[in-house]
Amino acid sequence: MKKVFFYLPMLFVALTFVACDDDNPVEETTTGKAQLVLACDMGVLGSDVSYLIPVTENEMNGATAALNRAHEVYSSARVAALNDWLFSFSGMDKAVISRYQRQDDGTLVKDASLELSTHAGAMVANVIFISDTKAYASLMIENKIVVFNPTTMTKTKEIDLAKAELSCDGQATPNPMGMVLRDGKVFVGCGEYADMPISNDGAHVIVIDEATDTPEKFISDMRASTASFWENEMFVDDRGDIYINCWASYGFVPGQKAGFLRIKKGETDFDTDYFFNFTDMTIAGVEGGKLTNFYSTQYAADGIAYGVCSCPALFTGDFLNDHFLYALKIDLYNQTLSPLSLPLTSAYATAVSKKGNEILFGLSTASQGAGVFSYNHQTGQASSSPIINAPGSVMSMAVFE
Amino acid sequence: MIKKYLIAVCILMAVVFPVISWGQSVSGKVVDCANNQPIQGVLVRIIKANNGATTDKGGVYQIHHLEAGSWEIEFSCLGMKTVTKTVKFDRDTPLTLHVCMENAVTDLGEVVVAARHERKELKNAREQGVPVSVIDGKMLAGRGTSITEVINHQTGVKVRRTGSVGSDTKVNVRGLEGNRVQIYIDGQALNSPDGSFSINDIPLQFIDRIEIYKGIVPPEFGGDGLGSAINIVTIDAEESFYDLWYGISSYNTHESSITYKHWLPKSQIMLSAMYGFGYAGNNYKMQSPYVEGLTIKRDHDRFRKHLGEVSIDFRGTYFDEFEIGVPFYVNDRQIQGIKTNIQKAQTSGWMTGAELTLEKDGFLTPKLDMKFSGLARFSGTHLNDTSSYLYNFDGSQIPNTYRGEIGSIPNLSDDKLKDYRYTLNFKYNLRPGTKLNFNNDFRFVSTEFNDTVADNYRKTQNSGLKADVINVISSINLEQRLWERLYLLLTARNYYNRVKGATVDLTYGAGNSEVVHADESRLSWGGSIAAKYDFAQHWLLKFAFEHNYRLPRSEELLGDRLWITSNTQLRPEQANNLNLGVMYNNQYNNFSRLQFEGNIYTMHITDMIMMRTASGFMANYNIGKAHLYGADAEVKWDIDRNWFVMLNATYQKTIDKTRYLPGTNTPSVTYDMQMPHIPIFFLNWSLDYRKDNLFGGKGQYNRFYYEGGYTDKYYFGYKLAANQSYVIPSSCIHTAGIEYAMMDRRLLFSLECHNLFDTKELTNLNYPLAGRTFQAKVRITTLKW
Repeated sequence: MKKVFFYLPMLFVALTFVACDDDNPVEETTTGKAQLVLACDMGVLGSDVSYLIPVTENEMNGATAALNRAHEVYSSARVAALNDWLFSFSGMDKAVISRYQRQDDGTLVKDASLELSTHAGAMVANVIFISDTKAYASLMIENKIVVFNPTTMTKTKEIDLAKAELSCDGQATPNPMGMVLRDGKVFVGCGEYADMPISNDGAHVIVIDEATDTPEKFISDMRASTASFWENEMFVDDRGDIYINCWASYGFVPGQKAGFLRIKKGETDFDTDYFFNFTDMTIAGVEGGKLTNFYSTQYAADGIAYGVCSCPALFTGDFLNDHFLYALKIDLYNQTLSPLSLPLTSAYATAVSKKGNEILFGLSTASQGAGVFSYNHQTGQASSSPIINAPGSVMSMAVFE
Repeated sequence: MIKKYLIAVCILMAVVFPVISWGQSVSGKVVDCANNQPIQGVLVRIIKANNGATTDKGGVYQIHHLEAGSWEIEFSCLGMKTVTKTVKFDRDTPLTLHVCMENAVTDLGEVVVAARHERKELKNAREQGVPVSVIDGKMLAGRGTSITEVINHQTGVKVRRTGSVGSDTKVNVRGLEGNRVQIYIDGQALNSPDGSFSINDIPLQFIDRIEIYKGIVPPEFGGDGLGSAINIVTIDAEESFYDLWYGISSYNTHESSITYKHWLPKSQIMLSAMYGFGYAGNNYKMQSPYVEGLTIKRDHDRFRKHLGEVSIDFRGTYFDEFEIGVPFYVNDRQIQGIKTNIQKAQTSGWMTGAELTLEKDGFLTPKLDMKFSGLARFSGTHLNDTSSYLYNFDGSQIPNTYRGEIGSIPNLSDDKLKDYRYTLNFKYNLRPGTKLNFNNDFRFVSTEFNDTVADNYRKTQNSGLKADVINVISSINLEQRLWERLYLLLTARNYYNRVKGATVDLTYGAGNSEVVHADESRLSWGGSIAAKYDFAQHWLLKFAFEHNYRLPRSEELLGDRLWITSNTQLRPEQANNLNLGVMYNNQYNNFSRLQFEGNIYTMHITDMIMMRTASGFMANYNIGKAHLYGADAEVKWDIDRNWFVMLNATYQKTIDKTRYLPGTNTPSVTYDMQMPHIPIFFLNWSLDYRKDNLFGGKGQYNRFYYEGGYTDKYYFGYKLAANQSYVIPSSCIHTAGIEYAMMDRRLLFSLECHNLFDTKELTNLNYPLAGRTFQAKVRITTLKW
C-alpha cells in the first residue's frame, strides 16, 4: 500500500508532463509577432483551400509551420505585407482582399475585408502599396485596377484598362498582372492572354501616373513575351532601373523568348540596349543546359536577383512527380544564371521572397522535404533542409521586416 | 416507447392466451414447388372465417381458434399461384396441412393482397449476403419527386447536387462518389457522359425497386464500382397498360410522359412505346457565396429533355424473354453561373441505339439458365461557349479575354461516342442448393473529339481524333446453401482494360499539344466471398469480403483534349471491402412487420484516381489511398395496415491514408484525417399513413407521408486550422406529401412539399440549392401498382 501511495503521485506527475507535452515543439517556444506568413496551398492533397500560416522568428529552425494558428482561405491565395498588416487575396476565387493584424502571440486576427469587384472571377493578381493610404490591386480578368485605402480598407476608384489602345491586339483585354512603383509611375505588366497561360507575342506594359491614376502609355517590346506574373516579378534595382521577368507562356509557344527586359531610371520605355535572353543561352550547371522560364523572382541587391526556373530536360510530363525547377541566382548586369545548392522543386511550390540577407524559397522537393529553404545572399550558404516545413505547397510569402 | 409496448404485448400474449385459448388449430409448411424452399410471407386465410396467418421464414404457419367443420383455406402470395384447399376440422385433432405453390406467370391480379407483406423480389434482394438497401418502387409510384431524392434517405447514401433539375448530381455511397459508384438500370451499367441520360430521367412509377449495394457489387452485374452500386429495376409488366402523367414543380418545372403497352395475343408480341418530356426553368433565387449581400436569380439554368423508347417483346418463342428496344434521348441545358454571371454558354446532348434482352430458364439443358442483355448506343454531346463578353450580375459586361465564359478558349464541340456492351450470365443448377454462375460483362466505348472552333483558336488539328476503351469483366461464382441455414457465394473475377487510339497530350501547352497514339492494356484479378446465416428465427447474419477494382473511365484515360490532358498509364483503383451485417425481419401478424438491419464495414482503397492541376491544365493521377469505415442501421416498422415508420442512421469516416505529400518525401499532415467534403453522420426518418377509402366509397387510396433528414456539418477542406472557414453546415430537411388515388388506383393525384421550412440547404460548398419546393402530379394509368 505504501508503494502505491509512493508511485501514484509520481505517476500523476508523469502523466501531467505527458499530457502537457506537445507534439509540436513550436507551441512551447512561440513568442512575438509573426515575421513571415506563408500562403500554403493544399490542392496537391485534393483540398481546394489554402492556409495562411504565421511563422515567428524562433520557428525558422526546421519547425513545422503551425497550422493551429492558420487561417483557412480559398485556394491559390497570395499575400502581401504592410506595416503590421497582412493582406490576402485569392487568385482564383472572390475578388476580395482580407486584412489581418499581427498579434504579439504570433497569431493573425482578421480585422477587415474589402470587396474589389462583384465579378467574383475577376482574379486579383497583385497588390502594391503606394503609401499607407493608397494601394493598387490588379484584376486580371476584369482588366482594371482598383485603387483602395489599405488603412481604412475602402475603395477609392477604379482604373479601367479594358481599352483597345491598352492591349496589343486591340481586344481591350490587357490582363494586368504584376506591378511596380517607381518615381510616381506604376508600371503594370500585362498578360495579354490568348489562352492562358498562352499569351500573345511580346512583352507589354501599361504606365500609369500614380498621382492622377491615369494610364499614360502602353509600351511593347517584341524581343520577349509575357511581362510579369505575380508579385516581385517587376522590381527596381539599386540604380533605379526596372527589370521585368518575361516568362514567355511557360515556354509553350515556339518563337517566344523568356528573359529580362529593362526600363531605365527616368525612362518610360523599354531599354532597347538590354535584353537578358536566356532562352537562347546554354546555362552551366543545369541539366541539358536550357531553361524555359522563371516561375517567380525576387530582387536582392547589386544587380543580383533570385528565382525558380523550369528546366525542360528534367520534365517528363508528370507535373506531380517531376522536380524540374532550379533555384537560381540571376546576375542581371552580367546576364548570367547560376544554379544554387538547393534541391530541385516541382511546379507546385515556387515562391521566392527575401528577409534581410536570406533569400527564402518555397519548394516541394523529392527527398529533402517541402517548405521554406533559405539562401544567404552574402555568404552563399544554402539550407539543406527546410527552415520551415510546410503542410502543402508554398505559393506565396509575405515578410515583415 | 415502442419497445416497451412490444414487450407488454408479448407478456400479455404469453399470459393470457393459454387461459383463453379455445377451438382447434391448423398448421403446416408452405414451400415452392420448384425447389422445395420455404416461402415466407404467404397469406393463409380461412375463407369466410375472418381468420388467418402468414408464413414465417421457415414457411410455417399456424392458425388457431377454429371451430369444427369444413373450411376452405386459401394460400396466396405475390408472384405465386394461389392455392385453395378444402379441409375438415374435428374438435379433437389439430390439423396439419403442407402446401406447395407454383410461380405465377401472368396476371398478378388473381392474387388478393389482403395483407401487407414483402414481395418476393424485395425479400430476395435484401436477403443476399451482400449489404444492400432495397426500396420498394410501389411506394414511389405516386410521388412527384426524383430518384436521387428518394435514395438520399437511405443508409450510407447522400446525394450531392450543384443546383436543381438537370444539374450535376453525384451519389455518395459510404464516402465514395462519382465514378466509384456504378449506376445500373436493370443490371446494365449506365454510361453517362455529359448531356446523356441520368437516373432522374426514369419516372418513379416505372420503378419496381431500387437496390443500393454498399461494399460489394453482386457478380451478376459484372461491372466495377469499387464496392458501391445502385441498380434501378424497372417494372416488367406482364399485361397491357397505358399510363399518362403530368407533373408540375416549383420554379417552372414541368414533366410528363405517356406510355402504351399492348399485348397482341395472336402473334404473342408485347408492343411498348413511351414518350416523355421535361422542362425546368430552375429560376430560384440564391445568395451569392462570393459577393456579400448579392442575391442572384438563376436566369440561365433552363433544362429541357425529350425521351422515348419503342420496344417489342416476343413471347411464345424459345426464350422466356426476347425483347428489342430502340431508345432515344435529347436534352439541352443552360449553364448557370454562381461565381460569374454566365449568360450564353450551354450544353446539349442526344442518344439513341438499340437494346436486346434474352432470357431463358433451361437454356440448352434444364439446369442451365441464361440471361443476355446487349446494347449499341450512339450519343453526342455539344458545348457551346463562344461569348466575346463576360457579364456581371449588375447587368454590365466586359470584354472577354478567354472568348468563352466557362473555359479559357471558345468551344463549339460536337463530340461523339459509340458504346457497345453486353452482359451475359449463365446460371447452372448443379444440384438443389448449389448453383454455378458465369458472368461476362463487355464494354467497348469509342470517342471522337470534334471542336473546330477550339482548334482554330488554338491552331491545332485535334478534331476527328478517335480513341477506344475496352473493359471486360468476367466472373465465375458458386452459390451454395449449407445445412439449410447457411448460404455462401464465392466469386472469382477478372478485369481487363484496354485503351487504344489517339488522344492529346496537353502537357506542353495547347499550342504544342501532341497527338499521342496509345495502346495500353491491363489485367487484374479480384474475388469475393459473401455469406448469410439464418441463426435464429427472424434473424439473419451477413458477411461479405471483396477484393475489387474500378477500371479507369474513358474520360480519365483520354482527357477531354481541351483542359484535361490524357494519362493512358492510369491503373485501376483497387479496394478491399469487408462488411458484417445483421437483419431482423418479423411479420408478426397479417399487417405488421418489424425489420431491423445494421452493418459495420471497413474498406481500404489504393491507387485512387484523382485530378490535379498542372500548369494551366488538369491531369488524372493514381495518387490516393484511403481507409473507409463506419456503421449504419435502420428500423422499419409496419405498425398495422395503415401506419409505417422508419428511422435510419449512418456514421461513415473516410480517412486519408496517403502517407506523403505527393511528389515529396514529406509526411503528409492530412494522413489519418477525415477527407474533405464528404458527409460523416446523417439520420433519416419517415412516417407514413396509408388507407383505402378513407373518405368512404370504394376503389380509393389515400396516403399521407412525412420524411425528414438530418446531415451533420462537414468541412470543405481538411480540418487543420483553428480558423476554419469553409463548412457545409448541418441541415435538417423536412418533406411532406399526400397522395390520393381513385378508380382502383387508375387516377392519382399527389402533392409534395420538399424542405417544408425552407431551410438553407447545401450539399456542395458554394452551390446553394433551391430551398422549399412544391411538386404536384396527376396520373392516369391502367398499370396495377
